[in-house]
Amino acid sequence: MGSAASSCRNHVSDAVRSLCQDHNCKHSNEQKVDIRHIEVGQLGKEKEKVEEGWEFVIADPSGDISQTDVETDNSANQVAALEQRQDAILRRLNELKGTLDQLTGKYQMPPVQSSSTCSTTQPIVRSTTTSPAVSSVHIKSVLGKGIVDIVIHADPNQPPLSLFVLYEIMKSKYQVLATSYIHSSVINADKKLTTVFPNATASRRSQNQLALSFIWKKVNTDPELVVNPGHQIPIKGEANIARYLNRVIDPDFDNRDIVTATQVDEWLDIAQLQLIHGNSKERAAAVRNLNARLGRNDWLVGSSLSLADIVTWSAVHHAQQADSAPANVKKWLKACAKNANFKLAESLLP
Amino acid sequence: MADSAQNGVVSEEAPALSKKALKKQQKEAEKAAKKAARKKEGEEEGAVESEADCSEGCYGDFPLIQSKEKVARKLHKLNELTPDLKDQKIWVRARLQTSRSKGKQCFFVLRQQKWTVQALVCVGDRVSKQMVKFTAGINKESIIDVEGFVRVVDMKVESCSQQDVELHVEQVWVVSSASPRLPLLVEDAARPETAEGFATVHQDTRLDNRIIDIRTTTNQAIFRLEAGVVKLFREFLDQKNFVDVNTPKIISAASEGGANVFKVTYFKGEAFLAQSPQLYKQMCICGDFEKVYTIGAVFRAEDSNTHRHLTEFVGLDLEMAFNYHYHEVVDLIAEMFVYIFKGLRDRYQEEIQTINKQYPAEPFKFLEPSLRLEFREAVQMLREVGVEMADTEDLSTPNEKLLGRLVKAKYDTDFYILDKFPLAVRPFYTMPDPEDNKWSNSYDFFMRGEEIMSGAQRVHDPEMLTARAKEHKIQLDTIQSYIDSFRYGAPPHAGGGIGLERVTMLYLGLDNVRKTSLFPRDPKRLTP
Repeated sequence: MGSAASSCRNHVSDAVRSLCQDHNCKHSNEQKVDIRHIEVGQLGKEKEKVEEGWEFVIADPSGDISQTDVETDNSANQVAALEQRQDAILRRLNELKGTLDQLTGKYQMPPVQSSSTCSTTQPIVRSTTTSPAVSSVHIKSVLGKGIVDIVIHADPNQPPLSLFVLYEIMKSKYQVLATSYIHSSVINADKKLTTVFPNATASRRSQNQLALSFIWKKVNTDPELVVNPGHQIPIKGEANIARYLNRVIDPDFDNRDIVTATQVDEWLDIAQLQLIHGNSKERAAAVRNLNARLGRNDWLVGSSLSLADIVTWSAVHHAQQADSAPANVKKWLKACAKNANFKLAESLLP
Repeated sequence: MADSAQNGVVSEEAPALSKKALKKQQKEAEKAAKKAARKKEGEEEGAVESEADCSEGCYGDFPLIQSKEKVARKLHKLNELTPDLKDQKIWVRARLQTSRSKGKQCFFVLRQQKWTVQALVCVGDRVSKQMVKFTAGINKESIIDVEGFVRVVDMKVESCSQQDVELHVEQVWVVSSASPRLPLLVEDAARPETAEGFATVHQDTRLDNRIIDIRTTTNQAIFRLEAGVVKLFREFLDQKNFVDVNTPKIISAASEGGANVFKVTYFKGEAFLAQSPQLYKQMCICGDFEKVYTIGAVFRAEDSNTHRHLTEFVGLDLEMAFNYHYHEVVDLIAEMFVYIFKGLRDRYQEEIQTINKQYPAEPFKFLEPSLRLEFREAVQMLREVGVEMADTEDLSTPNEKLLGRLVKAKYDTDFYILDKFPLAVRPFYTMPDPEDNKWSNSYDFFMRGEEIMSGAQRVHDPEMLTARAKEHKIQLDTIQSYIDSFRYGAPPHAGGGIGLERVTMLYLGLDNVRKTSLFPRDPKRLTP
């Protein structure tokens, strides 16, 4: 599933969103329609009906598409079957558009003032904007509305280290207010976690664009990320949360170089499935794999530090493979630690 | 009995029914005859047995205790009855909660505050038939002295708090007998409201007979926990060098506006019952106490019959001078709440579990440090789920609840602070935001989605206060003394107050504030 699926989902949500925008244009005033309201149960009866309709139509194609690589038109490998499927998707989207128009006409959708949307599985905050270049501006448009609080629930015994590295990088791009909370279900929390962000309450909340709230509590195996509980289910797993934060930092990540993005995704999957969740055999295999790659290259993907290095570095520590790691991996771990952005995460190592 | 009497009356008045009634009367007469015969037999039997009563002097009614003598007898507390006292002979004084006799033995449950233990009298060498009969006949809720052996049981006694032991009784003395007819049974009053097929007690019946109602283990635990809230409140503020002050409750003018205030006659004139100690707390600050708290009754003449309004409740109020930013105060209050919640979680776990047996609730969740959101964010969160509201509109009760649910879903906390309320929805003495007059330096604290404390930085500049009062169209002469109290130099200060009953209710996840008020006062209830 990895990258192909996730990027596909992006495309689907983009497509659906552009439908919404088309629809918006038809209204003279800037009406914003949020397709994600499917998941909200608080709205009026009429809206509910409309949403049910949408859910029905949407559920089907997204299932279809997630198996397909929509990026085929970019790649050299153009298989006829894939083209056919693409056509099918486009047709389906056209149908969707028709149904949407019908439904809106029928129920005379009132303007819904909502901004952030989130697909159920792909961790990207998006908003419906009037600009066509959605993916590059959506973060900014969200931030324009005031502070966005990204909440991460994590186990104090297994801090997701990579997220602290990403926080450091995030700070260089946005005004970020980071806070660390201890949940009441945790009795004896490590002092390091409570003081990881000093002066958390010093600055005024509304002067920041982003808030990153770490809540230390007992979670079921994986950390969870929540931005908007009304519109999304929690994003689970350190690698997936890292994917999300990475796209907040760099909204163009998927559009620039799809090959690199796919390679990064592959390493992230290895980190999540083999290192963090794997048994001892799988872990050893992952480390061997890592060692082989790092024998030929300094970094996991490309010629510089990337998201893949950040998450894998964290996973190696999680899996307690750092001390027994082979030479190449040790060298790479050291190189990572030298980076200033790793300093905070390093301080949380036991 | 009452039924038959009524029937009798009916039959006299309505001859149509007389046949039926006649039959009934006949039957009753027969019954009475049988009863008399049985009684006679019983007496004869008793007479026979009394000759052979081997436990004479081991049971009976105690003479009225008039402090005639000092008895050197150790009475154990029920919570001390554990397997540690195995096979020891001890005395206890407790209430008889229930008794059930079965031939030659009688099981009964003794209750003391929140603890219960099973006891047993059984005919044997030292216990006579008469004694078992006497024990079975003691009115429920009577106070009795009991001597017996502590025995470890094989099967846990699920229905009692002391599950591992029972008491094998050899002496039973009634210290104070209860009336044979009780307005409600403690056993029924202690049952979960969800228990189907069993009797439960209606809230009004409970409150009318509060003295029996508060004997339930649940209520014992609730009011102990409530005392714990006060204790922890004091403990924390004492540590922070606050001064415990007392403020008058009879005042000459309504403290907040004029509505919702109780008027009382005061000799030849009239006076009011204090709606809050606000004014006096602030005067204490102007009088250089720096940090004060006060615990006392607060009166609100609001005719609202809701689950969370009382006309008299206990207010825990605090006020504090700060140096440069009112967040110094907000942080301290937040810290105080965390201290209270932690104290309750760690020191009152037994009480919480007892209460949860009758009123199940999710454990209260909180974060440390406490979550502090701004009002604007809250509005944004509400809008994202489809609520339509203006930037500076106050939170309606449903929105308040919805917001509580959203915050819980996102942050997994039942406690949070909302900062920077719109100036327009706060009282005139609230300090406006330094950058934007639309907002104010005010905050609300929430527990389980309900507001429990409302506070703010107060305006401590008389000129600004006058201007603010004019904007609110308040007649200046009614608040002149309040404004004047800031004319002699006043430190910047902020504070707030909480209602004890409401905090306890919400901490425990109870559904009605009357459950946490010992003798609640509401528009419809002045007694007991």
